[in-house]
Amino acid sequence: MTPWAQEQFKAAKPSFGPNASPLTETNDPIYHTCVPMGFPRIFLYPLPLQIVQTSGEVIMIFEYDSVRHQIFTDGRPHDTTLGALWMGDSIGHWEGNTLVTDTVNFNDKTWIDRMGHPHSAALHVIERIQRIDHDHLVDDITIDDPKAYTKPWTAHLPFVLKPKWTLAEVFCEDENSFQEIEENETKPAK
Amino acid sequence: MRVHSPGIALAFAITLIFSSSSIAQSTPPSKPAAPASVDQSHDLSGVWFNDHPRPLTTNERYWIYKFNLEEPPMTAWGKKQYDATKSSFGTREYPLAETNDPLYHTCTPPGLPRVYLHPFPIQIVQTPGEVLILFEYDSMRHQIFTDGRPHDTTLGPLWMGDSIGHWEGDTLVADTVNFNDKTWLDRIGHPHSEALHVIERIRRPDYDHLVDDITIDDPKAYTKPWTTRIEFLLKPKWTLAEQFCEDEESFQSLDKNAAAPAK
Repeated sequence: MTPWAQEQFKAAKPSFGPNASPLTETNDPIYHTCVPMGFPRIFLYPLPLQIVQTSGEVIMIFEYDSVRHQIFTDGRPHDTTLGALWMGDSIGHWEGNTLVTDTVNFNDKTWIDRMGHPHSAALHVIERIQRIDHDHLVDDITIDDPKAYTKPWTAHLPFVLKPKWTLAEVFCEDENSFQEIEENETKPAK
Repeated sequence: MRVHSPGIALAFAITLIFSSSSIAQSTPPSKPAAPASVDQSHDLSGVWFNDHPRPLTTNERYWIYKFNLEEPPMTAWGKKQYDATKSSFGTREYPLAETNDPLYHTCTPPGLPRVYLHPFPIQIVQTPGEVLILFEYDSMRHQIFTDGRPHDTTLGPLWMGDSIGHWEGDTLVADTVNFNDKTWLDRIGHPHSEALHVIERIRRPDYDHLVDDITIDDPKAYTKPWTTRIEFLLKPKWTLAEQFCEDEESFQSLDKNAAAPAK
């Protein structure tokens, strides 16, 4: 992290993890409101995602709050007329069997993760997404944000296919939907 | 609405579901999926926007707050619910501070079919096993499974219901049940109960037009089923914008776009 980022990180009070604060003291932006958690933080939330692919785009739909990560693969450039976005503006292209995505135009209202690591509006996220076999997907995510990080760094997210699952309804505003997930946690999926 | 030059391609699509954890989820009864290819003769894909003329007065534009000009045939129970609602606009409007529209003071989902009344585009993505309707409004989705599965009776009441569908020729017939009773049927406060059963007949009469004939069947709230028709126009240069109810600024950016008509 840069000095600016370390300052942001020290001020963050996540609700869990090694630096956890009590819930009443957390300043996690998604805790007291239902604002979007942003990208790539949404990947860290333990709920499934569904990928739908057409010839012009790859759409990731997240069970959490039905948020979309819409990656346009039809050759369009980034849309510079858009204001700062929660999920950024994503375009992508194929390199062999790897989808390379490029996301910019972020607002600065989200945390990078659930611990409070920061990002600025200059955040640039590059993903390399590959289906290494029928049941496994890998997303190598590069965080490139010179204001917050002294150099780009990469995270490796593995996914397993769930052929019998469908996305449930999960709405942040509806506390009951979270209770159903907790009940479901006691029943292992097939 | 985002506008961009390359058109949205209408083509064969594949669906994959992935998870990074083993959190259990409610699953449909296991039925071997027998994927069929997407028949290009009934491809509903694209970004669509409600196709109505735009007359001058709010009260003439009833379709922004209710489905039909005539009142639906409410039961006594339905009428009682309706009389208690205080919508924020339309022909029975109350000041914002007094409205009891569940959407106004919270960001809970609008439910189905109310979501169709909100003046934002939809995107239909079609795969062999489902037709997915994505709404710009608060990122809602209406997922219609066409792989032959029955309704999932293990699900609790849902905001958007549980939807399955099948094709009758070129028409997608969607059947939605399992609703909760926390939403209004429309934006003026017509009611529904948990017994709500919504049947849609969705077809594309020509390349640029989509028609959704929606039947509301709710014996607790209405003395008989009634139908409304929503027509959509294809918007080949549009893409769905970000819109999150909790973020007031996303609504402001839409106001700016309203001044610059989309191509």
